[in-house]
Amino acid sequence: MPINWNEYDPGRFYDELFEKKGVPREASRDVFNHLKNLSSSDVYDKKARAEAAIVELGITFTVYSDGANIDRAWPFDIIPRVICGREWAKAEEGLKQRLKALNMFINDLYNAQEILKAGIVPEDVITTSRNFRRECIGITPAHGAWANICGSDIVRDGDGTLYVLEDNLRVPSGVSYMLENRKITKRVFPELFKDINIIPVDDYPAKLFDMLTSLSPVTDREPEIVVLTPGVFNSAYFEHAFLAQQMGAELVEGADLFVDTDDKVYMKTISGLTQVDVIYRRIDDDFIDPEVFRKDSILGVPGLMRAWKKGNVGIANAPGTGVADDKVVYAYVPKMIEFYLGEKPLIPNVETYLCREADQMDYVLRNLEKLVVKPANESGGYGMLVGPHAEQEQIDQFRTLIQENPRNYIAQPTLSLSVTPTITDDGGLAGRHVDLRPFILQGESSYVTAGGLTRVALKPGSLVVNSSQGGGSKDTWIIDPEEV
Amino acid sequence: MLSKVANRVYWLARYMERAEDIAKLVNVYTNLMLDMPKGTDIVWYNLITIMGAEEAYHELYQDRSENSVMSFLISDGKNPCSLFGSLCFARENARTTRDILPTEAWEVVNELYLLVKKEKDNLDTRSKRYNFLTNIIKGCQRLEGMLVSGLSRNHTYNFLQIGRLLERADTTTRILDAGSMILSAGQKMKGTEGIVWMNLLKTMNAYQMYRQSVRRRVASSDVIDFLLKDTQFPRAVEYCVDSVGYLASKLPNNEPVQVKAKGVKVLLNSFSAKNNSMKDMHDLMDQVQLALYDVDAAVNDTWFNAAIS
Repeated sequence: MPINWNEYDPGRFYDELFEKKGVPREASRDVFNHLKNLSSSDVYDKKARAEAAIVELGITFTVYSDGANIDRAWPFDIIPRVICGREWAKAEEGLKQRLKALNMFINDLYNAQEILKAGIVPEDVITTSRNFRRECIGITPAHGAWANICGSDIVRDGDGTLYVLEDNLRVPSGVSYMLENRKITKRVFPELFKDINIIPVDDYPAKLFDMLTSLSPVTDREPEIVVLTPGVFNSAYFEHAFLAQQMGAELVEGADLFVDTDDKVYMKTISGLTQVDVIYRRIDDDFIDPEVFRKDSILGVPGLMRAWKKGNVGIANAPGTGVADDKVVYAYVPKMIEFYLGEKPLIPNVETYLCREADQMDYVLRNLEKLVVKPANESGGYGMLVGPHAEQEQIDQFRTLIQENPRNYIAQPTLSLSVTPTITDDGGLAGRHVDLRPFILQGESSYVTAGGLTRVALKPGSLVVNSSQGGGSKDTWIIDPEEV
Repeated sequence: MLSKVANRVYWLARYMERAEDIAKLVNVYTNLMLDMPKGTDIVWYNLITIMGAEEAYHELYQDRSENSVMSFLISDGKNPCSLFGSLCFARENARTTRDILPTEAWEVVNELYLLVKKEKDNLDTRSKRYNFLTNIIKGCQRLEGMLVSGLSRNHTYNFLQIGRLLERADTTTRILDAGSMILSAGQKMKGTEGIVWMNLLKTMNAYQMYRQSVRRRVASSDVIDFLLKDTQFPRAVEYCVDSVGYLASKLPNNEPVQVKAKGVKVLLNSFSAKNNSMKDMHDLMDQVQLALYDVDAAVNDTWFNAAIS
């Protein structure tokens, strides 16, 4: 099938690039004018070049299959997704606002618990959360920031409104792919970068480094910063190695670190022990310290919690942060923003039904075939029910699951996710659903990536964008139409 | 530099060297078998003895046939010291140190691994085996060239080279042992001395260098002294330990490693091939191998398992 931009039709969905068939949005007009002049073979040629670059740069992700790990080339679509700079400026403020409130919330939970006393968030939501860590009570980390790195998932509904779908506060991944995607599109569309003012994304590793530096307990010397990875078998190992390399930090595993009797953290180097000041950990709470959490963990560092509580090391994200990475807690974020900041939320939540509330559960059970049901504490798109696409058997299974453990389930209406033009398997052009994961940093100050990682569901009609389940990605361009 | 990372590049180099050495040894040994008079007792199993792998071999194989010996040395995943096993470990180490090595290094190691995985069970004829092993040797040499020409002379380089040199020195002693073993096989071997040593020199790409350095008929004592004590030939044991000492001097707290490397030199200098028998040489090789293990142990204690109180 040839590529014909004039024939591209987003149909009934909101399209990121087009107002309607043949009419590009203001911010994507120049991109469109360039793309429509390319022949099909030009586009295929660029696609092939992008695929070669992915192999050359060694951009892979790992999938687990039958107990074996397979490195697969990163699935990527060369047509960029464009967001208007004016809209993004608002979204940025909204994301900073949100993370600020979430951090105040976590700090409150581990200290005065005012939000529970005020009855804004029900106490049992917190006491029944397995990610509420009693070991963290009484602690306030540097700058009051617990979630230093947050990856929120943003979606656009049929009417064009941006919503936050979830906040990933534990060990969100994907940022390295955002950076690599940009590298690839620069190779593939160099002429566009010359003519259009596309906001760069490359400063992320430097911003991450600055943020981590601001968590260091020492100020009299350059802090020693490390990235703590579970190891090469982790699906995000590529990213761990990438970020360490970009920041010039050491990439360490638990066994490389050691907490001495002075409650300080050291790493084992060829010159002996070197003190570590900040740890960017990519290991879940459960595994970071076998002295405190899971005893059988071989990924962690015995004594790490001791060192952290004594203030001898900064850990990002702080242990205990996961309490706010809970889809039940998510539902209360708009109220948190009002409670802590006295502001209205700048980006709305997706309407969410909490199965813990009897009347809401009742509604959910009666409308399962229309709703998306999610467990409160899973990530990667696992354990979900997409009602409109599910078999009756699966719906019945979820009915039982919800009734057995209402606290653990939430439901949301099935959104009519926006689409964006994507090259199909047969070489044509068609709209595919997308979401967006920007990354927000908070230490001494706050930062939001220019855009983020756009994930695209490559299968026709599919809403599942996870790379482990047939999703791909695109470069995201923030373009300010006034500057063009 | 993190101890673990240093440990990984050290073993990456050792395993790659080991894979290359096995490939060369098998190729040359096959050649040698063709040159020997009929009825001599040179057997494939000698290769197992040379590698000091008798015990591991008998756990896996009952017979001593060419097929079994080749499978043990080349393709058996259950033998961690096989060519395939070495490449598996090398690949794991390369994969986890990609970020500090030239980009192509990982690709070469991975390609070699994939080549062995694909071909290893398809080596039923000697000519197939020969081609296969030649490709392995070329790949290993490509990696070495890439590292020598593309890597800064930093700690990564130092550890890679130390690993490679120790493995290489060990192999040289084993090849010398092979020579002595073949030549002490009895009367029938009379007059084959030149051919045996020539072939073994070729295992190490040493034949031409030897010829340039020693302008006499190929004789046991000259070859032995050359391979043990030459200070210019890069596979001679003395050259290897000298270089280990030099590289170690660029690393922190290197004293214990220097001491052990000097220990190997003292042993070498206590020996002269002219005045000693083949039996003496065999004993010396055992001692040198142990002294090389001591260097390895010192490397481990000094840099990889440092200072845990």
